[in-house]
Amino acid sequence: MSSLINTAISGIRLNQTALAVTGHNIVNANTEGYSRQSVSQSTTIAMRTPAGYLGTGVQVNDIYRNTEQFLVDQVVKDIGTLSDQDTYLFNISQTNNLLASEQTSLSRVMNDYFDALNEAVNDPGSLLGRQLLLSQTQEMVSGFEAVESRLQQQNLSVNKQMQAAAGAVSSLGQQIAELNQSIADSQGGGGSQNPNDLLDERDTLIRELSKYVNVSTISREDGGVDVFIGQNQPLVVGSSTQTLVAAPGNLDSSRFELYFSKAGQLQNITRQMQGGELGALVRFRSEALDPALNSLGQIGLALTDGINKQNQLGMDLEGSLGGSIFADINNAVVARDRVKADSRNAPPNNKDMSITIDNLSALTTSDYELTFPGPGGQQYSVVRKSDGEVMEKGMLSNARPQEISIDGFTLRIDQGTFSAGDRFLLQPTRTGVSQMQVQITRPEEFAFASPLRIDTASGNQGGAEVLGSQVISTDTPLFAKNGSFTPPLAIRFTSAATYDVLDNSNPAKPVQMVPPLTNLPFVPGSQNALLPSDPGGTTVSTVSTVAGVLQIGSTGNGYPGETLRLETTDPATGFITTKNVDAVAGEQASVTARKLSALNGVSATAYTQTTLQDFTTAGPGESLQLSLNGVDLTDPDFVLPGESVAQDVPDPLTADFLRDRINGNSDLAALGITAKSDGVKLSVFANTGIDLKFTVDGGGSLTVGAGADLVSAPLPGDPATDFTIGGKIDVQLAANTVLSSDISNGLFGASPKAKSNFLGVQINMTSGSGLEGQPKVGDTFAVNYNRNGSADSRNGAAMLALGSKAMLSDGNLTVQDAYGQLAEKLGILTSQTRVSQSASESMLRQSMDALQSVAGVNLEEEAARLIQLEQHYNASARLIGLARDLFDTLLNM
Amino acid sequence: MTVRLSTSQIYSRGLNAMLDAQKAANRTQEQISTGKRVLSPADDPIAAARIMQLRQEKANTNQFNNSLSTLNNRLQREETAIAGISDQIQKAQELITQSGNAALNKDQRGFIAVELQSLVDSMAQLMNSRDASGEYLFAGYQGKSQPFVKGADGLYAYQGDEGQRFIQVGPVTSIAANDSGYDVFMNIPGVESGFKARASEGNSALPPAQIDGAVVRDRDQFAKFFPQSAAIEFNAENNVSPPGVNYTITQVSDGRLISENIRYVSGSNIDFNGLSVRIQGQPAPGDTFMVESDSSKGLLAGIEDYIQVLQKTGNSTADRQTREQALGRTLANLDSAQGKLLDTRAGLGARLNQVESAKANNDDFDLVVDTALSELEDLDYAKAISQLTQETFVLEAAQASFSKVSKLSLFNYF
Repeated sequence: MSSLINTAISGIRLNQTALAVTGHNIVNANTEGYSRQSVSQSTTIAMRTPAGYLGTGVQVNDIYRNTEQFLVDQVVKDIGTLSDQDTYLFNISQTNNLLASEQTSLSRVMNDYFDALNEAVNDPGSLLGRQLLLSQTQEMVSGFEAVESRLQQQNLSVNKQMQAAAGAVSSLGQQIAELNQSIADSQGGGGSQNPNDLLDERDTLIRELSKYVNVSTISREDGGVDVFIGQNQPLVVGSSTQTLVAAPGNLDSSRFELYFSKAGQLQNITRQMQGGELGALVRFRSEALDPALNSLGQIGLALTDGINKQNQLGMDLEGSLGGSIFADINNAVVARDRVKADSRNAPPNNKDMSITIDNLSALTTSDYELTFPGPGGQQYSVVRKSDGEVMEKGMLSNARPQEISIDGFTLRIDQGTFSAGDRFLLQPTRTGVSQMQVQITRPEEFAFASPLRIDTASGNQGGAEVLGSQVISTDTPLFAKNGSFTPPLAIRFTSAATYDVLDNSNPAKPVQMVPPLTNLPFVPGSQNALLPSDPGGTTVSTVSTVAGVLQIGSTGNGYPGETLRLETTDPATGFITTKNVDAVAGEQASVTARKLSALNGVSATAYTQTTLQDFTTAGPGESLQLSLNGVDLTDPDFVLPGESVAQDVPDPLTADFLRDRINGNSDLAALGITAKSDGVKLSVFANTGIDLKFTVDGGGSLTVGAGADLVSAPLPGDPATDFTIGGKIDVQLAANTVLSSDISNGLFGASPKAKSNFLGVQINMTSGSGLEGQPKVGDTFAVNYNRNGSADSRNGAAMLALGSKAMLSDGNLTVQDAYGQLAEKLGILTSQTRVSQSASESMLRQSMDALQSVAGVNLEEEAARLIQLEQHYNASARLIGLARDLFDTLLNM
Repeated sequence: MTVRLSTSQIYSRGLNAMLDAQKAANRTQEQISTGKRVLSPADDPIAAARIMQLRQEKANTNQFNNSLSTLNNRLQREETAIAGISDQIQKAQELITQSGNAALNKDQRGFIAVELQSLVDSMAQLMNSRDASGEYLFAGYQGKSQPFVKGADGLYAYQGDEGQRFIQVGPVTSIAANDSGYDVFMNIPGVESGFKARASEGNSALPPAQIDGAVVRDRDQFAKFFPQSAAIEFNAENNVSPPGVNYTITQVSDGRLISENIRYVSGSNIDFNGLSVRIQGQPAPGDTFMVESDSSKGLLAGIEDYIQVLQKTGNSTADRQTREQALGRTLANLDSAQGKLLDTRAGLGARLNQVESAKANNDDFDLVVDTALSELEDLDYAKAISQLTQETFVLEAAQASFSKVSKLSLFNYF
């Protein structure tokens, strides 16, 4: 009887419990993270009776939650991945829209600028066009700065998101640790009962945590769970937790990094952050935001530097050489800003470092890191961050300043002592947009004109004409004075194939340049570049104590013979190449010059000149007889071309007569020998550099040369007297080439002096090739400063060309191309993220689905269970009633 | 194997399907309302990159078109001026032929000279034409200075230079936007040689001394001098005694001394080698004046020479001969000048043609680019609308089935 009641009571108790659990399931059907709970029941221990084992009822074994740890872990992982993609997509969409939308697109901004430049250049004298260009230039800078500041704001937003996420991670960690404690306590009661709701809550917290960062867990014996974030960084161990903070980075304080903070000490774990919001933010910053800022910076640098340098090669509306339109990209403040020191670097704080940009084309969009791995503070290493390549490694000397050149920029250390462990961040292009500033204030300062003006002399008889001219550099002595050339130049042809470039300061008397640009070769009928074009080029000339010295009584020029040595140093490697040229003693200058010109990087010209005057005679019948290189100049029977009768030979000889005889002789013309006379003095010139071999006979004398050396006719009966003058040589050497001799009294002197021959400008000329079209002797072109040349747009045209010039990426990309590449890269990243995001969304749905199908509450199921339990309860209650009836019956007996 | 469905799964599955259908329909709707298939670069990165390139090409073509219209205006103006001058030359030729009539007397010749002078003045006015922004058309690069200026001696001198400005109208094509006065009106081969006199750039006297009155006095002597150049250089005052302003003349090419230390009188003629010049003012020591042979005869100079002949000659036989020779020379020079103008006009015409065909090419190119752009970024409405219809149908079906299924619950039957 009592056993019947007890059995029934156990049944009722069970059903009450089961109903409570079912009710709990029903009301918690929509609770997040709730796992459906079930009751596990079993029979109570049977009683042993003589009749056999009698069951005593039912008991609740356990209330357990239906869940599958594997599925829970899967969901946690998928939440992390989705959150990662969501955050990344959110941030990168903003960047993508900023750069590609038509309103903010820098492509349009740059086009508007070049359009305004086009209008202004097509009418260079008009102030209206220039004023519009000035406003448009400022617009362009504003456009760039607007985009850059939006990107910087995104950085601030990333920092804020990091802070919020780090705070959330810390607080979640805290809560999980507390739950660990509670769960341990409730399990510590010795029972095997699981605090199901607490476990559900902890699972929910872990899922919440995975939104912020990748999470992995390890269960502990006491029921707690150790939580690791990112790449196995411990967040929660048992009931203790770490605090995650986001704080300014050590190397770059504008970018927040993630640290574990313990007792005031910070441990940087940014690199270990993966997945979730934090992983996405770190990845977004390094994959998209920072490269975008660097790319824009690169474009900004290219535009400002390119336009500045071109403007400086031109002449503005007021006749001055152009200045800078934008602030110089290498000014002291900007150059220093490109180097950031790590805040943990050891003192002393005496470091003064800066970065100058040398070669825009070689710049990359990467940042660099200078580290001192040790031992000591001398060993350094520079790493390029985009691909981790070690660019430079070595030992710092104690010399200051010291320069390290990499990838188009130079790091300059002016001051500083370093220690092992010091680190510096090198950002050559990051500030490229923020340093953009319009420096000119007046529209007259745009230098559209070229400073070169070339005038054809009105007396020119030949067909030489100027094809064009370029300004290569204004950093030469030619441009020393603003507003005029130092000196003004004259290009004068001395034959159809030779010309001189002369100093035209006194147009009445053009003189040789220093160093000389005399007797240079011209090819009629083709394009000739008249001036030296190598900025490092030099000219070495023969010395007048050896070359061109009058040799009386000799048919040789008296040159000593030597070995000339030409050494070329490769600027990149320091390797020296040596070539030798042997000049035989007495060799004509023309031959030596030809040998020199055969070498690479060497161009030699030889010319011989002398003057003859003070002709005297010993009387009629004993007049002076003179021959030159085998031609008798005083031949009484020689008929000048164009004449019919031989002229009388004057006695004494006159300079004019000899000039006509020399110029009229075809043999001498073939040797390149010409003569000039001013009535008193005869100047003889050989443009080939061959020796001038004179012979005097008869009676009388003459003086030769600048020193007026007297040469007398020989005594009667003696053979004729010879006198010879050798030629001078001017050698044009390419940059980094040096000429020396093995003897100390050679043609070029004891220590040959090389003088820079680079004028900074180039002039291209051509001529016809026939007799009429060739240049004629005396044809002159004056090169002057282009004062008042307001209608000239030659330099403006070069500025326009910058828009389509491949200035970046080793000559492969124009500024528009570079911008297009950036926009394309961001577009691809965004598009890929969209695809990944939608894929991870559907993966999460699937894993949630799988988990829900095990742990989710099905209301129909619970409803059916209710009915079942209600019936069961009724049955158990009925049983009690029955037991009572039985007892009553017994009592009523 | 049956897979158990929880209640929340039933709801979330239905909801997700509806959300997805809604997203798709919305996107299509946005495409339809903007008319663009590519709404943001991420929609189709490859197409977006190509679209940027095409837009860039359009911008470039636009820039070239602007240059072309600027160029067109300028060339038209130049054409008009040259056409006008050409007409004046014809009038001048008629007048000059008229003046050769032996029956005319000095007064009548004088009237013709006056008419010729006014023709010269009106030609000079045309040669000093300006463009819309006030720049002189024929001054070369000296755009702000009037190119043809009448000197104190009543003769026009060219103050411009030889510059020619090029405007870029295509990726590799530049067309000259002007012809300098030097090319068109000065550098004309003359029938006989002459010379030019000018002050050197570096002269320091203030106000600057002027040189003019360049005239060939003795043809035979001058022919011996031609094509040399001479320099008149002013020396230190104590080169002569008593000290005073004096000059030395040297031949430039060989340094030959022509005259040395000649005392200077302002305004008086300086004669040498068959030619004559006149310097006025106070030159400083070191000031140089260049006398350069010139085988060309400027358009205006040719007529001015003849005007002087008409004014100076009388009725004597010698004078008549001088006049006849001058007439022949001047008409020949004017023929050359007219020939130069014709050449220039032909060149202008060719350039204007180039401009037209460049414009036509650019228009064609624009069309091609527009077509390519449209293919890449414009929406195919037929496809989009049918897609929208399908998507809204799917959405409606999802909504209807969801509300039906969600109504079913065992609790309804309690």
